[in-house]
Amino acid sequence: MPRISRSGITVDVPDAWEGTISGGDFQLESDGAVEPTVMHVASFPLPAERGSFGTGAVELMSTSDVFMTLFEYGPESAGTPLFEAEGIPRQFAAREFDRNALQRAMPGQTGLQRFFTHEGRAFCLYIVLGSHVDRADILPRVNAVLETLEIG
Amino acid sequence: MMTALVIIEGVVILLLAILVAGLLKSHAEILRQLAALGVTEDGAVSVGTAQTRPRTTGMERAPANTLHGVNLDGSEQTMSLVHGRGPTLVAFLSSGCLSCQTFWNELQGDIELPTPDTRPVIVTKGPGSESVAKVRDLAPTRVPLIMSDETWEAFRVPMTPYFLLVDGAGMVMGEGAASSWRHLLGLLRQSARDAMPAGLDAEGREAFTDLQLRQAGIEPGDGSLYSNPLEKGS
Repeated sequence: MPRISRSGITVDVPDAWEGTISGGDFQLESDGAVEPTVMHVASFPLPAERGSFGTGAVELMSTSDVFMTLFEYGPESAGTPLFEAEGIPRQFAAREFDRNALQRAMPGQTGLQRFFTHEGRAFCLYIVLGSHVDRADILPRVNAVLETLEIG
Repeated sequence: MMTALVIIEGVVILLLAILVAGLLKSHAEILRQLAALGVTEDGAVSVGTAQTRPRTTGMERAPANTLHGVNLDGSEQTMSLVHGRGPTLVAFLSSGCLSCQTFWNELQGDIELPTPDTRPVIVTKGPGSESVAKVRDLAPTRVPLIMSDETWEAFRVPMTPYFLLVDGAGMVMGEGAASSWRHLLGLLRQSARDAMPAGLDAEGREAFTDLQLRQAGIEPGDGSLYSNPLEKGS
């Protein structure tokens, strides 16, 4: 199982899945923007052009697919009310997924978004499942990936 | 006396012209051979592989199920060849190889693919062996690109440009070198025809294709048969 690692984030990408970790360190770009760390893990081929929260990718999902984003916010966000949950979320239940939680609403899909702080770093974990109806069948694969996620 | 000198001068000029023409021809032949071997203009060898002869095309498993490396901004990434969807066209290119230039250019535009659901992926050598700046200038934004020495070694890339068409189960449908995109498409289509059992009528070919799709988890009417993996939703 391939393991990818960057900016203190490490995750095992299951066989036949794809993953990437980009950005990091919030270094100032030439245009004045800062580039956050973004991890994408998906059970389907990721397109080259896609948004941080999956625009351009979730449209390609089949009903059994999974798309996961871990998006890091600036250090000033750590511990604020939105990010008050401590530690990496590891296990989710089917009931926690909601069609209305999708950043980009796609027919049949369902999603979940969790904000948390870990080791003084603020993150949003965003997960899209290809089917709300079949979410209980898809979920074990998501939880298995989260078990391997490490943030240092 | 004067006539003899003019004749001698003419002969010398003729000999020199023949010599220059011979040298130019020889130089062009050397460049052509070097380009075919993947040696760049500046003399750098763009491939350093254990196996230096091209392998034969045929149905066999890809030497790796994943392409693992970094992209142009240094992001670590892993891409799957066994995702169960359409084929992946892996294009091993280098920024310095003259023969690769046409493929860099053609991949910038709307290219015809072996099948509508084929995903092209460019693989260059890793940032330690390849110029990131040059690749950035050449790379199309719509085609995934991965920089990876590990992948080059795993696939024992014999030359640049070099291509593999791998189905969604990781089986190599065709591989080889080509001089242009049209040439490549012709070779890949020929490979697909060669892979089909001989003597099948139209009905048999259809059944064979359905069987292969089913083995890849694609049933009749599957959305992936009609979608372009490069297209984004609006």
